[in-house]
Amino acid sequence: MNMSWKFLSDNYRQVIFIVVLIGCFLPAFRPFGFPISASAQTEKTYDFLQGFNKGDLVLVDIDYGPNAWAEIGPGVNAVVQHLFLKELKIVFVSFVVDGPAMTEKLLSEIDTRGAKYGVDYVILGYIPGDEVGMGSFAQNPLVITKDYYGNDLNQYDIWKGVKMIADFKVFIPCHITGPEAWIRQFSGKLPIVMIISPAALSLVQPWVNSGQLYSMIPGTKGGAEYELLLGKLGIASSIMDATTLTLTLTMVLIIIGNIVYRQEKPGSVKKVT
Amino acid sequence: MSWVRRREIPIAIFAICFFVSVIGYYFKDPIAVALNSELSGWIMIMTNIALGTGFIALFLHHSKKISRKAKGFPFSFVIFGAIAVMFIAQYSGPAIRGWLYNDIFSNVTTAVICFALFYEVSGAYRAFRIRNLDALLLMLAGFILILHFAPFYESAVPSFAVIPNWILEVPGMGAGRGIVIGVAIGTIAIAIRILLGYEKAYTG
Repeated sequence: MNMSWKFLSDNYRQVIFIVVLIGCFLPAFRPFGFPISASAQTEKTYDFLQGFNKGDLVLVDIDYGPNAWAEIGPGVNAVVQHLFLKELKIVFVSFVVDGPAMTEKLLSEIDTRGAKYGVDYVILGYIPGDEVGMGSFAQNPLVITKDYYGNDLNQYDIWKGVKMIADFKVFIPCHITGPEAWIRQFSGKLPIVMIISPAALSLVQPWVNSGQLYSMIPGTKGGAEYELLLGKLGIASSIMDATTLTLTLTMVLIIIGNIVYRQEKPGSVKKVT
Repeated sequence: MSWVRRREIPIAIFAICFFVSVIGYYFKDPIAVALNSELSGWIMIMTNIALGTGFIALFLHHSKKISRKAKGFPFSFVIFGAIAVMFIAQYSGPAIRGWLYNDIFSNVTTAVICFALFYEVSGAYRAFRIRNLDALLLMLAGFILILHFAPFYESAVPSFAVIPNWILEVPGMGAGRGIVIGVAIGTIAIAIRILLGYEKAYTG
């Protein structure tokens, strides 16, 4: 076997780690600006939200923790940025413990355009009980009487416009798990636009086709497409540079792996440790 | 047997909750809806209590670990320290809480999750070796989805989107529907088994 192939065969893990590191970091220092195009679902979502009027109420459900941020967070940033640009009234809710803190992180990362807490947006905080909590909230949002900071919700102008779940023009749940719980509890009551992990696309597609979900945004990739439509490139677009470069290098590595495999003598393949 | 340990009691509690929820969800009878709503409130309260009991269990577990000087016991001090710091930060104002959660915890957690990428690529390097026809098909499927999730390729050559979209919308969606239907049937089957008293694991 050629020496260079042998070196790769013996040290493949170290080589791969260095290549992946370069693929992830290089775009951070020198963005390539790889072109991207918006998918039909992203365009559908953008057009839908673009049609809302100033002051319309929307419900955003942040149901992910920091471990899922890279997968979905930039997509949520892009959509919520659009809501603030449209000057909609946004109610944030969470059915996971980490949700309210992630909502604060989200608000610190986007341009809220001087929106006032209690007037233009409010954070309800964590509602326990998983799907039962969702069901209870969907039946009657007024079961929540205090916001995340323990203040009475009735003092806020934004909350005075909420009497029932149908007062919201759209429900935007953001999570990385299967979509069933949100659909069971909210479908039929108001349109649902779901921001999900790209890995869950196959699980969500049937609900979109049946009309029970209005549309979906596939995580950070969808976020990059959304930023393109907004004309306001951000973190999702820069992550897509790293994604494209890393996945391209992965394909190259897979091809090299097969060449090395063909060059190896039968029986000389080492066990994976 | 003491009456409190009788198996019929948890089954009866389950049956009452089950029928209240089902009738409250599917029928718009005001009494059933009100009962279902009340029950939902109870569950939310119990979930909050469960968070508290979870904290007590964590406290006891790590206290025992420290007192016995079990393997890795210094890390238990880190847990107690972290809990104390976050507790203080919660009441010290949003700036400190935000700094600890958003600037430290959040970034560290994201970094740990991103380590998986290195092992995934390393795994792909070995798993996608063409040893036989199955491995060839696996590699082709992997390549198609890699091209789909790297947005540059679909933008440069729009026809690249055709095959991955077909995979996601036809076989992928078929499998997705199968999973949804399977989970639903499985849930109904479990509910019936509990109602008939065959499923005992949840009674402890």
